[in-house]
Amino acid sequence: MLDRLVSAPQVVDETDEGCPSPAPQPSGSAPAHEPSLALLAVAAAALLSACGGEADGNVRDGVPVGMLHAETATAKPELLGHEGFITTEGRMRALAAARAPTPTELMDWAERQFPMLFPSHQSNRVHDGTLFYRHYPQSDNYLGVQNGTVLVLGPVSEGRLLSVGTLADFAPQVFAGLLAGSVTEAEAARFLMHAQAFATDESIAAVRRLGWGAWLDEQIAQAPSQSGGDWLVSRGYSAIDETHTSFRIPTVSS
Amino acid sequence: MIWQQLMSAPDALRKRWAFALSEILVVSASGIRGTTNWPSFALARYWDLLCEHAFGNYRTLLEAITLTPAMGNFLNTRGNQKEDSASGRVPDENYAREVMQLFTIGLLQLNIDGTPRRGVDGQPLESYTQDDVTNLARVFTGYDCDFSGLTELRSPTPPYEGFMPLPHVQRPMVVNASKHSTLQKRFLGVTIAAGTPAKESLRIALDTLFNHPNVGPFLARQLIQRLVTGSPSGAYVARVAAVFNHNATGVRGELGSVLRAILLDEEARGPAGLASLTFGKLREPALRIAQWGRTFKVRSKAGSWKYTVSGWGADYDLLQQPLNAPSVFNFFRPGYVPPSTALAATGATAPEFQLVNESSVAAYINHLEQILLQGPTVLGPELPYFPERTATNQVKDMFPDYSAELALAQDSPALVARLNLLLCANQLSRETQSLIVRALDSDRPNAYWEPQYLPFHVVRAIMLVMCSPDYLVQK
Repeated sequence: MLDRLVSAPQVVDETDEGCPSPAPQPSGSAPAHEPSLALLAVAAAALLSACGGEADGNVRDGVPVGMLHAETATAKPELLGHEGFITTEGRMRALAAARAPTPTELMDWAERQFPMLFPSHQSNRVHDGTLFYRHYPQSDNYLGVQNGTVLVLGPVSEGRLLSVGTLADFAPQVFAGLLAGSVTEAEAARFLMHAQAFATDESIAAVRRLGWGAWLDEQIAQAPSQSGGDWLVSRGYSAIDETHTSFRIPTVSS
Repeated sequence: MIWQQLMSAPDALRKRWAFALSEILVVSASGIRGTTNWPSFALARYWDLLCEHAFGNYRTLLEAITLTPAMGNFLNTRGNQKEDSASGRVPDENYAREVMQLFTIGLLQLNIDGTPRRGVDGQPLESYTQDDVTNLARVFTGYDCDFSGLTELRSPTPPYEGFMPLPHVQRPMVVNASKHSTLQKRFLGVTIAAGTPAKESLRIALDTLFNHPNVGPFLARQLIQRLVTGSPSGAYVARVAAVFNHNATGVRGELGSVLRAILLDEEARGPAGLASLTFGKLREPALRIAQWGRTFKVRSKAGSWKYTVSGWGADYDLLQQPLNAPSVFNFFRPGYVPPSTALAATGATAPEFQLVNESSVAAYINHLEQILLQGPTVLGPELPYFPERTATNQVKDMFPDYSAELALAQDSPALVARLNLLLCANQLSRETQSLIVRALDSDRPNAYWEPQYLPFHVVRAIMLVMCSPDYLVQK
């Protein structure tokens, strides 16, 4: 097994429980701000298809040989889904950040998003100053970044080195992910005061439940309510009689 | 109308953003009184267009507002006629000037971060000349209200004047080709050939303004000021301007994307601003009132929302009745730097401070004292007009709901904590919190208090919070 050959101490998992039950498929199209279910389905499908595969067992300087040749990687952008399920919040966060995520940010994000592929947090290892990678002993998968390219190797890739995209490709998801589920009461209230100039118990709860971006999505998608003109009509201001004189040109002094 | 919209409409974000837009694309109620029939409807139509296009495209909004009778009356496009060599008449230049100076490109050429571009001599470069104004003014000639299919009505009361039915102040203005200037129009490097039809001239003119590189940073900086901070960093302005120029789907001028970029920016969301002396803004007086109404679920009993925050006399005047700025330059200018302050030393802009003086600070406190307990006194809430004041027609109609706060009336720390979150996003300093708690505890309700007096105690707490500097400056 590869993990025995890598220099750092590893937990060896000899049990045969690597193939999980399929995740439920999303019914209908998932809302733009709820990517997790759809991502999970992709990850589960990838994992299922990979069961029985083996990582390249050759290791040099503690690094699997397969990871040293990013240029030979097979492109598989759908594996971690950077082409789909990107929320508007993620796009805006990426634009706001105006940078690609760091390898650490990317790998932390991938651990959160794909716990079946990359179970339990691992720390970075570096090879040659250019390859940043982590090894996940429970799944025997590797996740790495070299020169901005995100690489995956292990059972999930049937032992082939896969390029799943560049760091920049993942910016929207990573920066959106940094926010998810982490909004405090005070942060929600502060956001609401910036956005709509007031906060209530209900709106604070909504922002904390949805996150800033999804809350904005919901508000922006909401159709305009009754117009001022219609409201004036509903209040009788369009009537014309002795008391209803909204038609009149007021004298400037009044 | 406006307080119904700002305090009770379910699409609160849209209304608040439209209000921000109304402070850049200014039309003032007092500026169109005396020039149009149905003035409240003309202004309502203007407001409704801001709301309708609030999350849409700025180019669309720009054309829509250009053609409103409200704007036409305010900045003289309505009735603007082409040049006449016999009489020496030239087109009115008001709208041509303001659409450039205030609505699109501003006076100076800008870098993407909102700072002025400078020439080799170090002086800022102007973005247009008087010649540009004169030429652009020709584009806005020949317009008047659309009276098609409408028949003049007669007032039922003296002086029995004739007037046109309501729709003419709601429809876009239309052009009379015979009054439209057919001269060549050269401005900002674009030439509209002589004889080009009015509609095509307008399209070219507004496209030219909309696509000018200034628009992104010019609007971005002001919109950030309205929502987040009075003196944003150049980097923040540049990030928002970049989204104006080119949003995630490659479209220019998408206001919904701009709003997201402003609100989700690290400078707005990150904790650094909370500790910074240069981050944040003075809450606008009108928004303090709207916030009070929203937070405490104020409802108009008659449904008429007849609140005006001005016109009570100087002792109570908040100087900011929405949609009624003193001029096209809004209630305050985006470049205002409070003189003789720490801000002035660094040149930091703080627009809202233009409304701050010895009188207005006291007037705000007086105003709160008038409204917090039972809402503002309004004139004839059941009537579809503002009657003359009498001894009996000034009544309460817009009532707050303090039920959640009343439950905490005997627990000063809990009451202050709740108000701190709801009104200040927990930005009251510890010192301010304990100062208010001590004040409240000095006369805390006890078992002997009649229940009807509890609201007074809650109002004391709200008053102290809403008058504190930690509340007034929002970070």
